[in-house]
Amino acid sequence: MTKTKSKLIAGTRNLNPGDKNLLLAFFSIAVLALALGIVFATMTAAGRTGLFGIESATAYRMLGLHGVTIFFYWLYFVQAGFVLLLAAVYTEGAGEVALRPLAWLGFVTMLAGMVSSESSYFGGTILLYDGNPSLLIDDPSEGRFFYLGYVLLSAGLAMVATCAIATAVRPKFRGVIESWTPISFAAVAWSGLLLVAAVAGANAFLPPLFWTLGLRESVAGYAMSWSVLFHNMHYLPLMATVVLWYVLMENVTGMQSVFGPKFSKIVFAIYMIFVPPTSLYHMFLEPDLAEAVRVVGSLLSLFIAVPTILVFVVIVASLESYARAQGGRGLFGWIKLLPWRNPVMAAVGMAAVNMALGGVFSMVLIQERLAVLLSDTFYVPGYFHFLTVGGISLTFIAALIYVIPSLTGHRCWRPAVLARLPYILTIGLGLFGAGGIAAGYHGVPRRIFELAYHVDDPVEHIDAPFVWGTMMGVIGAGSLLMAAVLAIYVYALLRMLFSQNREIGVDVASLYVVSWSGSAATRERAWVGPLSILAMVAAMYGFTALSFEILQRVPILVGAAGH
Amino acid sequence: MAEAAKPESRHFTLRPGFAVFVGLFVLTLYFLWAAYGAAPTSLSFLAEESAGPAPVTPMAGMDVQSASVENMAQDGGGAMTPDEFEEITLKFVEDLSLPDGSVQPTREWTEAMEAARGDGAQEEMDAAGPADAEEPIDVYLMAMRFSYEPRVLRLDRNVPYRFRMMSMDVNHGASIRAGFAGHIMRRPAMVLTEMVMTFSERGEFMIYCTVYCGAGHDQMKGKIIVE
Amino acid sequence: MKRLDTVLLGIVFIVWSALALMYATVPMIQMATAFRVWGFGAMLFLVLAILAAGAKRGSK
Ligand code: HEM
Ligand SMILES: [Cu+2]
Repeated sequence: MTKTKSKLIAGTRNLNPGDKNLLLAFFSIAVLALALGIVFATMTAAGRTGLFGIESATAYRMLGLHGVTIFFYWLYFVQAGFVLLLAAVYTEGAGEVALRPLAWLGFVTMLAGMVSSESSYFGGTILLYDGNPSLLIDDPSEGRFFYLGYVLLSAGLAMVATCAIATAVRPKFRGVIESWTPISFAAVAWSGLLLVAAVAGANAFLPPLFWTLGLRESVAGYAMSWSVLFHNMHYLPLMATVVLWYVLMENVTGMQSVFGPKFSKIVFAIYMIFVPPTSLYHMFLEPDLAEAVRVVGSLLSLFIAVPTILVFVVIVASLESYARAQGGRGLFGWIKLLPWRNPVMAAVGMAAVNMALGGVFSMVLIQERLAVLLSDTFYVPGYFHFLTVGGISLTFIAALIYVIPSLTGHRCWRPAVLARLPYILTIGLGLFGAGGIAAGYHGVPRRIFELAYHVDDPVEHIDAPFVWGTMMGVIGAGSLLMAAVLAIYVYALLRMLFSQNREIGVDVASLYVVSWSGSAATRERAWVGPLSILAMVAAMYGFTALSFEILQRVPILVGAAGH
Repeated sequence: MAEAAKPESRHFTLRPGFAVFVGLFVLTLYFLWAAYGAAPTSLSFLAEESAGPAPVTPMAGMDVQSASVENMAQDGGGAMTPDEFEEITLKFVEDLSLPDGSVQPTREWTEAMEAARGDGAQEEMDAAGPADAEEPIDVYLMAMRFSYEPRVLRLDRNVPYRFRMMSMDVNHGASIRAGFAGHIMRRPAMVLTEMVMTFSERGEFMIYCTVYCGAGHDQMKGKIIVE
Repeated sequence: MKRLDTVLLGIVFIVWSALALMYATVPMIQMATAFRVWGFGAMLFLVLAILAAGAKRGSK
C-alpha cells in the first residue's frame, strides 16, 4: 500500500479555511440535491411501474422535481464546486479562490434558485424540467417560481464562473506563471462555457418569467432558446466529467498523459470548438438546401462524439503504456494492475463503461430518420441515464470521495464497500437501460404513468400490449438497484461531510493507489483504447441497422401514394 | 509528462495523429446512413451550383417531420385556422359516424368536400403527383387536452389516407402503435399537418400522445381499426 | 507552450464568431437567440484569450 502524493488531496488540504468553507457549501448542497433527486427518481419509477398506486398528477410532479433537482441543481452545484476547486488547486501560483465574496453571492443566488424552483411544485405547477411555457396557457402565474429559480441559478452560476476565471488568470497577471497546466486551462474553458450557459439560461428563462408576472405578452420563441441552452447542457457535464477523469486517474496511478500537456490542451479546446456547430446540424437538413450543405450538416451531428472519444483514447492509452512499464502483459492483462480496490478507480472505470454504452445508443438516435421510431419513447431516458447516472454522476461522486474528506479532515467511509458500488450501480443501470431501450423499440412512450391506457367502452377499448408492462418491470427493478446504490453513496458522502467518528473509515490519503510516476513504455503498443472505440462504433452500426430494419417493418407506409 | 519519448521512437498507437484518427472512426457511421438512404449521397454538388430540392430516397415510414403544410397554407388557398379545422373535423365526424360511434372515412365524402370547397390548392397538389396514383381519402384528426376527435377510426387495408391533423391547444403527439413498434409523431399546436399513410396490416392500432401536454397527458388515447 | 493558451482560446473565438455571424445573417437559419448566446460566447473567449496572454505585460 502506497501513500499517495495526490495533488488533488494535498492541494485541497492546503486551501485556506475560508475557501474550504465555500467549497463545502457548494458540495453540501450538491449532495442534498442528489439525495432529493434520488427520492424523486424513486417515486417517479414507482409511478411508472404502478408500485405504490401513485396517481398520475402526483407522479408528474415527482418527474418534474426529479428532472429539475438532479439535472439542474445537482449537476450545477457540483460543477460550481469543482470548477472553483480545480482552478484554485491546479493553477500554479493560485492557491486560493479569487473574488471569494462574489463566489459566496453566487452560492446564495443558486441556493435561492433551488428553493424557488422546488417550491413551484408545491404551488402545483405542471411543468417538467424543460419548462415549456405553453403548458401554462390556463394560468401563467403557476410558473413564476419555476422560472425565477432557473434565472437565479443562471445568475449565480455566472458569478461562480467569473470567480473561477479570475482564480486562474490572477497568477498570470502577477507574473507568477506564463502558461496554465492542462487542468487549469480546462477549468478556464469550462468556466467560459458555464458563463455561456448562464447567458443562454437568462435568454431562455427571462421571457417566460416576465410573462408569468404579466410583464410580457407572449413567450414565442421559447422552444428555440431552450434548445440552445439544452445543447450546452449536454456538453457541460460531459466536459466536466472528462476533466475529472484526467485528474482522478493522475491521482490514483500517478500517470500523466503520454501525449503530453500540449495535446491535452488541444483536446479541451476541440471540445469548445465543437459545441456550437453541432447544435446547427438540424438546420442543415432542410430538404431544399444545397446537397453539399446537407452532407456537411449530417456529418456535423456525428462530430458530437469526437472530443469525448479523443479524451477516452488519450487516457486509456496513457494508462496502458504506464502499466506496461510496470510489467503489465497481454492485450488486456495490464488492466489488472490498476488499483481497482480504490473506490475512485472503480467508479471512474465503470463510468467509462457506462459512458460508452450511453454513447452507442445516443449515436443511434442522432440519425433523424429514426426519430419516427424512437423519439419521445422510453428509449430516450433509457439511454441517457447511462450518461447522466453511470457516466457523469458516478464521476462526480468519485471526485467527491477524494475531495470532501480532504476539505473536512474526516475519514473516507468504508472504502471497501464504496469500491463495490460502481459494479452494482452498473448492473442496475443495465437493467434500467436495457429495459428502457427495448421498451422504446416497442413504442412505450416516455413521461407516461397510466401505461395500461385502459378504457371500458367496448368500441374504444384497446389495451396497451402486455409486453409494455413486462418491460416496465425490468426498468423498475433496475431503478430500485440504482436508487439503493446511490443512497449508500449519499450516506457515505454525508458521513464524510458531517461525522467526526474516526473509528470507521480510512484517511483518504491512505486509500490504495499505485505510483507509476516513473516513465511510460511508449515504445510498446497501446491497443485497448482504439479497440474499445472500434467495438463501440461496431455497436453503433449494429443498433443503427437494427433500428432501420425494425422501422421498415412497421406496417404503415408514409407518403406512398397521392402526391 | 516532460519525459515523453521522442515521437520517432514511439509506438504508432501512442502518437497524437493516431488518437485523432481513432476519434474520427465514428464518422464512418455516415456510410451506413447513406446505405439506408438516410443521408445525402449524391456528389452532384461538385458539378453544379444550383440547389433544387434534394432527392430524398423514399422509405416506408421514414418521413419524420411529415409535410407540414403550414407554409403551403400561407401561399396557397388551403389555409386553415383552428376554428375552420374544428368545424370541418366535427362535420367529418358527424357525416361519417357509424352506429357504434366509430368513424369511417369514405372517398365520396372526400370528393364531395373537395368539390364544395372548389379551391385550387388541393388540385394543384394532386396535379403535381403521378397521374395513376390512387387518390387518398381524407381523414381528420384533432388533438386537444386530453383527447382525440374522432376517437375511433375504421380504415381499409392498403388504401392511402391523407391524415389532416391539428393540435388545438398545446403541442401533442399522435403516435400509432403498429406491428410491434411505435410510429411516433409530433403535432405542433395550431399548425395543420398533413401526411398520407397506408396501413398494410389488419388489426387494432392504438393512437397515443407522446408529447407531454399536462396532467392528463396519459389519458390521451384513440384507436384505428384496419379491416 | 507559452503562447498555446492564447492561441487555442483565440481559435475558439474565431470559430464561434463565424458561427454567430452565420446565425445572424443566413436567412435560412434565422436564429436571433442563438446569435445572442454564441455571439456573447465568442466575445468572452476573445477576452479569455487576451487574459491568457496577460502574463508579463500585466500590472507587473
Ligand atoms: C436512482 C437513480 C435514478 C432513477 C431510478 C431514475 C429514474 C428515472 C425515471 C423512471 C424517469 C422517468 C422517465 C419517463 O417516464 O420519461 C427519469 C427521468 C429523468 N431522469 Fe432519472 N433516474 C435516476 C437518476 C438520474 C440522474 C442522476 C439524473 C441526472 C443527473 C437523471 C436525469 C433524468 C432526467 C433529465 C429525466 C427526464 C425528465 C423528464 O422527462 O422530464 N436521473 N429518471
Ligand atoms: Cu397530448
